[in-house]
Amino acid sequence: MENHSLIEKIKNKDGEAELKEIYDKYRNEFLIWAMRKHSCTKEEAKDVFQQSVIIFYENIIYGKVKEITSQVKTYIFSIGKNKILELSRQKSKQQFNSEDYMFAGQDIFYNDFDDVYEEKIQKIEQCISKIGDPCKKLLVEFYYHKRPMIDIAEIMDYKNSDTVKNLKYKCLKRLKKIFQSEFGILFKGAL
Amino acid sequence: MSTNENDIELLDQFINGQLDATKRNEVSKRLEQDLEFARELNQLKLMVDCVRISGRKRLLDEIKQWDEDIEDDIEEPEKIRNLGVFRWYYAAASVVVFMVAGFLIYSNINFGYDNIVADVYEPYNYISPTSRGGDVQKNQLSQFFMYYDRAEYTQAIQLWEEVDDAQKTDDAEFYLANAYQAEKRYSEASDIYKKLIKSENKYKMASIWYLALCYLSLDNPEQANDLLVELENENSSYSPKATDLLSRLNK
Repeated sequence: MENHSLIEKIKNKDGEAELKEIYDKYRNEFLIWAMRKHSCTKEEAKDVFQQSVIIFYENIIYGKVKEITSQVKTYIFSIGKNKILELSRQKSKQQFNSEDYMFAGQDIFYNDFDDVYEEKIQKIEQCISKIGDPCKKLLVEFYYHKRPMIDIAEIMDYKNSDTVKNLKYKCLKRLKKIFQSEFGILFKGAL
Repeated sequence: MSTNENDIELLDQFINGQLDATKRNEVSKRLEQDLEFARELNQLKLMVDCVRISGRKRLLDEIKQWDEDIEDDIEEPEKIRNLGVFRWYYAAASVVVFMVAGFLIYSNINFGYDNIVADVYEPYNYISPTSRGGDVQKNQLSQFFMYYDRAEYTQAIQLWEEVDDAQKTDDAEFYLANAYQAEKRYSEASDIYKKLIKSENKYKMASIWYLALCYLSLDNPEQANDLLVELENENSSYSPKATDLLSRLNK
């Protein structure tokens, strides 16, 4: 698969299907590599691979990576390798060196997948869940997957992008109210 | 000043860096002057972050679902599988393995034939140049002997590959075998010695002697003994050495 067109495919509304294809293709190879070469347990290897695929996806959709100079497999395995090193550092309680996060002269952007993240996410998930669907889906599509309004209208079966824009505003208002009740003074004021 | 739907759109674009320089400056100015607008931005940023975290969690859940659909007969390597459960047993077993290995190595040093061989072995003396010519190949052979003479056996062996086949005489090969032996490459040395013995080469007696030493180094005293007995019975400069060595081996 041509790397440039792959990036475009991942960015469009069928991006998750492309991601699944990549996941299925390299999953077993990564697990074997992580277990044999880095002495990971199978569960650790699986977790690391899943995180690596998400980081790969986010780097593309947030435009942090515009071009992949190496093979996709090499890129994902490099992310995975750094995650494994991070894991072993956590195990041995050593601090990590940011220089390890360079790959072929290209920054790989890392996001939290740690204990703090796990703690935060439960509270946030509770808040987001309270707005219910379709608001939750719409906001996630717009802010996380960075889908254009027109694509969201198609995915969620709305008339046009204006409808989506309008609904998005209402959803944010609803979310803000929930946050106000959960987090208090920080959210004082009207949206 | 209160915010409306258009302000939220504007702030969305501001967060995502989608505004041109002029619009961006306008928003920055307004943020300095309008506290409510600035607070709106901070709240929007926080909400967007939370939605993104939630989005990631959703994607991770979806990926876990994909994972369940994959046929998986991958097994953890034995050492990893057992490490979690039998960590202390594994560590203890490792210590035992190292102790046994250490004992075996120690035993070999003390009870093998290395000490005896070290006492009697010295590489065959290189006496005179067999060829000194002007062309490259002859020079390479000369260089081979030069390295051999300097006891630089690794280099001599490496250079051998470059010597022309026509120059690789049995006599020259005898020195190659010696170089192999000096480098503890006993099998390769033995093969050459056997060939020279069979071909009745002028170095036959020397080859029998060195082959016997190779056998000892390879921990094969029976074959070494046979060769030394053969050598003892020959009228050769190696006969007294063979007798002496046999007496040491039979002590």
